[in-house]
Amino acid sequence: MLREIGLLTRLESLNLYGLNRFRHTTDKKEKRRIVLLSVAWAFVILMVAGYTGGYAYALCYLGLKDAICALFTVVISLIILFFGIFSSAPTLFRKNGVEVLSALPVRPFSIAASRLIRMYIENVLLCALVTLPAIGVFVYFARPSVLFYLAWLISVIFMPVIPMCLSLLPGALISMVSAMFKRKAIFQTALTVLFIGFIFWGSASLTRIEDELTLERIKSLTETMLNAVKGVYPPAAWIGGIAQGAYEGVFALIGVSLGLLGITLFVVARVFPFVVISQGARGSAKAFRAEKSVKASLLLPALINREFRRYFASGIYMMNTFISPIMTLAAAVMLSIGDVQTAVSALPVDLNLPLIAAFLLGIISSLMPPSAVSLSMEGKTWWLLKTLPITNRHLFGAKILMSVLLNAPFLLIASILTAISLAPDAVSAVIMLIAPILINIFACTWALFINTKFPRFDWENEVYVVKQSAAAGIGGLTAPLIGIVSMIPVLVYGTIWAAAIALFALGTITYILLKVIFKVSPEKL
Amino acid sequence: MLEIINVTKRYPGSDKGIKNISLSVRSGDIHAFIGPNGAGKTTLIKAVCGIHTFESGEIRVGGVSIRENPIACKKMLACIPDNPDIYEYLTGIQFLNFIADVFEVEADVRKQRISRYAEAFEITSALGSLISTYSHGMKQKLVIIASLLHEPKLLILDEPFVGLDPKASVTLKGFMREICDQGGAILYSTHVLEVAEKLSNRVSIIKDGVLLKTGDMDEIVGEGRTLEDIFMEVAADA
Repeated sequence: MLREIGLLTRLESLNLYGLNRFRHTTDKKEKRRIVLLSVAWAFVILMVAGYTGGYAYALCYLGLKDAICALFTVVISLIILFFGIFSSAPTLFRKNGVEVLSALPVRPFSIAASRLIRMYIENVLLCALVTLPAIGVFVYFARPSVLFYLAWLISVIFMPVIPMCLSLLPGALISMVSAMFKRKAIFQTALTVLFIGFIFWGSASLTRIEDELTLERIKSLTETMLNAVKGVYPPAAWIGGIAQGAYEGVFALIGVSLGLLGITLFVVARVFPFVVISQGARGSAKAFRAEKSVKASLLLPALINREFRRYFASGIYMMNTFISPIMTLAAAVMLSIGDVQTAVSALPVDLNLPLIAAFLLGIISSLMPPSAVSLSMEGKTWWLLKTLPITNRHLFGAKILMSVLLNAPFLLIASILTAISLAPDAVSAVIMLIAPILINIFACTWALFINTKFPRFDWENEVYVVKQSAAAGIGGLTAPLIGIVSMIPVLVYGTIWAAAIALFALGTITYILLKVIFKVSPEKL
Repeated sequence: MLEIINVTKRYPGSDKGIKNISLSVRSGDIHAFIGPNGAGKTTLIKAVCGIHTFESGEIRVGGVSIRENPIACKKMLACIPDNPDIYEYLTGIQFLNFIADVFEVEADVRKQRISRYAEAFEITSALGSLISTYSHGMKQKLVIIASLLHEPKLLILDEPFVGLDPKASVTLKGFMREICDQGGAILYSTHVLEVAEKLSNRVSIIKDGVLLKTGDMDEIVGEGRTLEDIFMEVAADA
């Protein structure tokens, strides 16, 4: 079995980060694209390294160098846990390749284990990337013994295991339960959202039992937080201890990691065959009746309908993009029930809260719109739209409209809630209703524009498109940044005219982007 | 109905593609397009259907240039690929409704046609199921039905008989003849030379991206010989 797992892991890892494609492709454009993407990633890595190194330096400066190991353990564990909740189950249970492998004399468990190992390798690389600069700073200031380096190396190897298993176990169980239902994606998303909500509720409850933070305690904020986290997440204490020469925690880390890994493997071994076999195996209990099922529709609504069906058929697509409407509503609730006006009036600058709130809601709703990856999500079916007599206006318009319509109800409710609580004048109230939706339209258009520049149709796993593609990163994250820039006149001048000019500028950019998008040749994509 | 004039298409970073291909498909023609694997059959078919661009030459559907007016061309044709990658998140009927909406087929008309074709291909009972539950052959049948809904004037098929059961193959051939009898035209690629010889009135043979022969089936095959004989000769000489 180990030989099987080794062979399958080698197969899984062959194209890690697109390396195999880069090695063997003869397409210069493809090579150039991979190089550019790598340069972008290298830039991100440098930024992260700078940030973590800088943060570690700040801790050393404050005399808190011993907190570095523990703190970064928590940071990396949270990153792996949070992203793992969304991506580890889809990665583990992806359908692609399972049939071919299942026909070979390999155990289903070996297939699952190889995918787990691949995830683990990616997490270890991430762990090294995030923690190395910080540990470098620590080593410079603390000059630890040789044993520290060995302990740290072991910690890096075992640190990702616990959060990876903690994110995978519920994902695996959710996938197993969802597999029993026809509308898997919606069921899976609902269960995952409930699970994440439970985590947030749990962490909020935990912070309530900690010490109250006062102005006098602000200097010891880091120590207070760290003590709290160590109590909740023991690996932070175990790994944190090596900074002070207490290495016994490493053994606890190894033991707990291996134990949890064993449980995870046990669960995965049972769940994996059930989930992958059930994919696509459920038929419909309803008999087909032409009278009820054959319906005519106009082209644009038909295309939008198709976009919505695509959206709701993918759990990872929904989970990755539904965050922003929920955050928009949450922001509106906070603005409504919090004493924001008092807080704002205490600031040394004069801010027009209703106008800023309007822009903020639009900016929050702009994070990761579905249109950022809606073109790439066509995948292997892209050929079909290219052969149909559909104009660009309809094709791309439907993608933008679907993205906007998804956000629209949340934006409307958020705008109304905020307008009621802030009680602005009539003109400001109109801007509070219009601005968020206009900003969202811009964001959805911008995101699709980026996707036309960075389309990927040859993916095997939706996780790649939704979370790791250039379109998702650039389109999904830069839209709110541009929204923030558009808010500057409102922050500086705080007048209706400033807001109107900012919105007009965004509207003009949206119009130009639409013109460019509608000239794209689908045949060339 | 279809004119392909000196079309050249190269894949980036590769010498694969098609070179100066010229052929025509008239109304009433069932035109077989044959060649070894990697010869360029699919490349040409994709260029005609608007899936790929091409570097030089001209493609006209019903006299309309696909470069100048792709929408008008696509309204006249239908494309059935060799690999039916379609929307697995839709049911069969939702997919057919979507295609019929694109071609603006009225509700009564589409109901009639869907019933007719679905019964002919024996997938009526599966139309309510998600496409993800379909076998390869069922997906192929669904794509064929979708392509026939708007009564295309030009039907382009890439290895259409692969994956179809024998009865469905006979049914498809029947519909192909029907389209041609009504003034339409068909261009299809296949590896099954016996079928090509019986079904088609014209044939083109391609190898390494170059068109070796094109013309009437009777003229090319001649007396006492088979299409297989001609194919093996031509492919060996080239």
